[in-house]
Amino acid sequence: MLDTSKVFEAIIISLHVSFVSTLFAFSISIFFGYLIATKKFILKRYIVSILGSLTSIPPVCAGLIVYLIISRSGPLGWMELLYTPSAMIIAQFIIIFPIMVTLIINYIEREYPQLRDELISYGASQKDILFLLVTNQKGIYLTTLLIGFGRAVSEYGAAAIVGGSIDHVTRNMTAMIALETAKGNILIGVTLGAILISISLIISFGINYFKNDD
Amino acid sequence: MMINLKKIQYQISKKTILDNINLNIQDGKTTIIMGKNGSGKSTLLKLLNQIIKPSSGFFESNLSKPVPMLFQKPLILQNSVIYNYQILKQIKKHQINHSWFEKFNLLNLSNQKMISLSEGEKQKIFISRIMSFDQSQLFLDEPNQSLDLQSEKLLIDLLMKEKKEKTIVMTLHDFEIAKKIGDYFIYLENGKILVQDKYENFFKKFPL
Repeated sequence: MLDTSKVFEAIIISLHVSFVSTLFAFSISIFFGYLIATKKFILKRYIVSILGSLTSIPPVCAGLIVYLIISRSGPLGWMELLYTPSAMIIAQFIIIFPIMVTLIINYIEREYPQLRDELISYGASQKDILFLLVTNQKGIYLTTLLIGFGRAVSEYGAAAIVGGSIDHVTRNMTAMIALETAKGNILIGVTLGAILISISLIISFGINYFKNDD
Repeated sequence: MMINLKKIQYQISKKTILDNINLNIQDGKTTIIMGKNGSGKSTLLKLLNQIIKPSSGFFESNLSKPVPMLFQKPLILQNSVIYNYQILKQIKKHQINHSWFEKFNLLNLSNQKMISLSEGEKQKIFISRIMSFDQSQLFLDEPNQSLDLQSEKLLIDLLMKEKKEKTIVMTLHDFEIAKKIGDYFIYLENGKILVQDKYENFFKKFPL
């Protein structure tokens, strides 16, 4: 039997963790994306290559790395983050940050030279250039947000390792689907899967609405 | 003299784009830069407007900083046509001169999205956007590209009026338009000036 209160709880946990990790990764991606794409420095090529390679990091490995760092014997064990939503946010951040920052670097590297040259001729400041770089192609940023959120909300392995799938605390939708399916409650698993897909689609439609409103 | 270049060289990643450029851009005159694709016309225009700095050589200009310039691939600001003007007003803090916007009959496009316009309509908006700054120096990179014959004729007429009181430097492919507008001509080939002279002499040296 499907306990609706538990399902709502799992939805809230999923959305909370994924929203926070996505927004956090997005903000940092814009900052570093802009710096990496517009400045010349030693090792730039290597940093971009490493970030590109990390886009395909297996979520379980990301979870394992975070686990080793925040477990009791790890360097950040004293923060007692293991099996908390914060640990899940950190793990999801590690998974989605390389993807988001790589997309933003590619966009800025493509647009910046032309935008800069023309805006410099208009007497624009660096602040104006950054403003137009962000606002001129809102669609790119919304797509980046959507890709990051989609990856975060659908991810299971990392969140399960560092979150522990604790009832009422860290059991998100994907953990609940895995648990119910493992228990043989296939119908409940399918229902939860359908709910997760619906939530993702609603959010995608919402973001696409703003994207097309440019 | 407005801009003076001596033995100018410009390189990108060790590739020479402009080489041994010696040139004087005269105040109040219309200078036309011509040449094949990839000969360095756009680069020279950007260099003259101080958007890029030469790798070596002597550069002197009585302009203290770049002026708004028409690029070959101009910046398309998304959103509406009118936004493209308003945002520039915000950046440059200048009073917008709408006269070219009206002359090109673009008022009915004001609220349309840039993305929905044809290449020719966009080009007219880009030209009007540059002319809205109402400056006395014009740097135009292929201003007639994508324009239909009627719009091209209008552009020539408008530039003929502007040239009386402005210094114009522009790149062109069309020799017929160049002949109508230009006072001084430069022909580039592989980043070097092949011929440069006044109207009368240029076309004698460069028979077409």
